[in-house]
Order: sequence, then structure tokens, then C-alpha cells
Amino acid sequence: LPGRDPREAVDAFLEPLRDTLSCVARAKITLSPGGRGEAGKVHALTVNDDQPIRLKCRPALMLRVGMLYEIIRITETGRLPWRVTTRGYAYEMQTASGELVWSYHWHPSGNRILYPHTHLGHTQLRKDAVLHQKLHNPTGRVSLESVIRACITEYGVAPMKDDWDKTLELREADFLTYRSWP
Amino acid sequence: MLDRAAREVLSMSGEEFLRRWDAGDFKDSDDPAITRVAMLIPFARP
Repeated sequence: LPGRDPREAVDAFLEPLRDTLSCVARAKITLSPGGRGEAGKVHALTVNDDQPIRLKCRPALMLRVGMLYEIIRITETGRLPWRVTTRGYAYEMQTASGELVWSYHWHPSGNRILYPHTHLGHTQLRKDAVLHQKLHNPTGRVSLESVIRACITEYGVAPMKDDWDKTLELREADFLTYRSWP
Repeated sequence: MLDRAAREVLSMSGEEFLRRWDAGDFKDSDDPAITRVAMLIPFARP
């Protein structure tokens, strides 16, 4: 979502994330220093100071959310000049004891694997399984909205608002409209 | 924040993590814990 200045672009970026997270938790988003207005560098955001969110479900599950983003200037005629683009993400579901269930990662400026992928936690696999947690299983780009939806529909997390389905549908539509790569 | 995460999942200090990250020690790593900590680098380097 574009804005008139970097700060407005960051606000426009954060608002859907807050709305999305509010479907399953009371979550506080923290930005790295300069993350509200400094263009031209990669910033990070964490939810709840990088502590996993305890989800309302049985068995108890926790979700950790982190993203990298950059404030960029755009030159398209008729559009506001600033927007935020995602530079990476890590969405991780854990058991109550902190063991990884799955994670969706994309970190194109990080280590060896530059495409979006998922990891599966070893506690979810049999000892003789072919899958293990260090394999990078390719995925398309994964939105936070789709992860939150899966928490509710697949993992039995109790939503914290009645209109969660509508909220996620709306925010996912924004994501699909404004993303700059598939 | 990065220091806490590095100690928690990699048993090293944030300082050591950053030094080894800069040296390229993790370039070929498959460990998802590296990603978890690396996502916090902007908090340590404003």
C-alpha cells in the first residue's frame, strides 16, 4: 500500500499486518531502529519482541512472526510515491515446549537458499522419515494472512474476532493487489 | 534481541553470530536457526 511519505507507507504496511494478527492474538509489532521512516535500507519487524504468540488451541501451539522490509520510492504516475516492499519473512509454528512444527521462510539476501521454502520440525516426523528439518521444500510466496488462516482452519486456533474470515479475505486481497512479485 | 536469540538457538553470543555472519561462515548452512537469528540483524545494526 503506497503512502505520501515513508512514514505513511510504513503505517500502510503495518495496518494490515496488525489487523491480520488480531484475528488470533493481541500482538505488538516492533520495528528495528529507523524502521518507521528511513528509506534505502532493510529493516526488520518482530511480533511480541520476537517471542512466540501463544495461540488458543489444543494442543497448545505458538507462532513466531518476523519480517524484513524496505521503504522504497516508486515513480509510477498516479500513485503515491512511497511504498514498503517485503525483503524476507519467517513464520514459525512451535509446540508449547518450543519444538518446531513448521516454518515458512524467504530470505533472498541470506544464506544458501534464496527461494521461498518451508521447513518441517523433526518432532513431527518418524525416525525413518525421508523428510527432515534442514530440507528446504520450495513454496510460492506465502502471505501472513494465509498462515493465520491455516492456524484457524487447519490447527483449530480459536479466532479472537467474529469477522476473522472477512478480515483475512480483505487483507489477502490487498496483498495480492500490491505485491511486486508472486 | 539478536543476542538473546543467538544464545537461545545457536548457543553463541550475538556478537559472535555477527562476526561469523560477516565472515560468511553460515553461507552454506541449512540450519533454520541461522535464518531465525539473521532476521534480527537490523535490530543489532541500526
